[in-house]
Amino acid sequence: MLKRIKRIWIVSLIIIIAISFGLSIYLYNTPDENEKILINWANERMKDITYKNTFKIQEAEINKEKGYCIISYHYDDEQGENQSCREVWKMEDNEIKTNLGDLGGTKVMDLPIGYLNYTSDKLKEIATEIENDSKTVSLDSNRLTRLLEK
Amino acid sequence: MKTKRTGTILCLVGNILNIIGFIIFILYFKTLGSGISVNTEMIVDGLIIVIDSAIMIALSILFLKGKINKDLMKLYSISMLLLSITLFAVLCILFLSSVLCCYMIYIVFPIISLVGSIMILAGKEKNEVKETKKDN
Amino acid sequence: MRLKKLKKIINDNDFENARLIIYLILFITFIYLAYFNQFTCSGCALCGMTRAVKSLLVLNFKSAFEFNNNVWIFCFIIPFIVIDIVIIIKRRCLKNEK
Repeated sequence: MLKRIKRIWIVSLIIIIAISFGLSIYLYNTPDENEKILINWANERMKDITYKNTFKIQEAEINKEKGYCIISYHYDDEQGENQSCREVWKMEDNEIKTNLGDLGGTKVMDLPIGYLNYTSDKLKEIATEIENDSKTVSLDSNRLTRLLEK
Repeated sequence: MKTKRTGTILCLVGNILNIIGFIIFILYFKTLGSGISVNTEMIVDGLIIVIDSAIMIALSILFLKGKINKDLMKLYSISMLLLSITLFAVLCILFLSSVLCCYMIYIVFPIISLVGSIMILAGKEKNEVKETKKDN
Repeated sequence: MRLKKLKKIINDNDFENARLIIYLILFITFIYLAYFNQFTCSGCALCGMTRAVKSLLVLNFKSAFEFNNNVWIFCFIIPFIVIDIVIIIKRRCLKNEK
């Protein structure tokens, strides 16, 4: 009886420890669905940036239901100047596709027809709506930076 | 035996505080938001921590009630140490990942549990104490 | 009966030892977080808490509450811990004298 208890105890302990470590390390290294979407976007965005190692995401909020996301990031351009952007992007088919505009800046977006009504006031309205929506998911910038470096 | 008992009480207190602390942590972030969303990693790691803590609490209570006989004592000591190391490691991985700086305070509770489990392993059993006295 | 049982548990030697070790670990952690570690403000409820507790320990209540409003919790916890340590040490000294 005692031997049986010992055997069951040892096996259970090994399983618990293995699962704990395994799951923890797996989740540490693996991006979830929302993070994958943002990593794909970041890889596309970095194609236009000369100094890729200066690219860093500060904040990212995704609202899949409404199809918008707000991304704050910064990078160094060709002249070595730091460019800081806080942009609203439109999502289609679970991918971040169209840049609707910069919330802080005065960049004129070359938007396709149908997006021309996104003036800066409208953009701010969308941004406030997304920020206050309960379905908006805010992603961890430290995790994103680490997963992007891979 | 005293050291083992003190160590067990440390593990018990540390793990109870761990569970309470983690539940408050997750509830606070889920309900109030505060700009940081609870992601999959936090929830799964949180569950691992709560389950590990619960197992350690159960083992501690069994020891304090005298249900663990001398044949299982070594296994008990090693289990508590391994579980507290696992708990500590999982919390460290979680905080390295999300780096919620101020919540490093949650590292204290597994440290208490780890110190307790080391005391359990280091503590001599009643029979060992009697034998050393006889030898002397 | 319940009170007697509770008193017995609280005054239990091993439980007292465990409490002393916990207070020591908390103290070492506080020293490390307050004096050897640097935090960046992430806007959470514990923002400024180490500075608040530092101010509380020098009885500067005004700046303590300025750093973090929730420091009132430590206004109860710190005296409780100090009183507990004093009672345990006093009991041990009396036991040694006997």
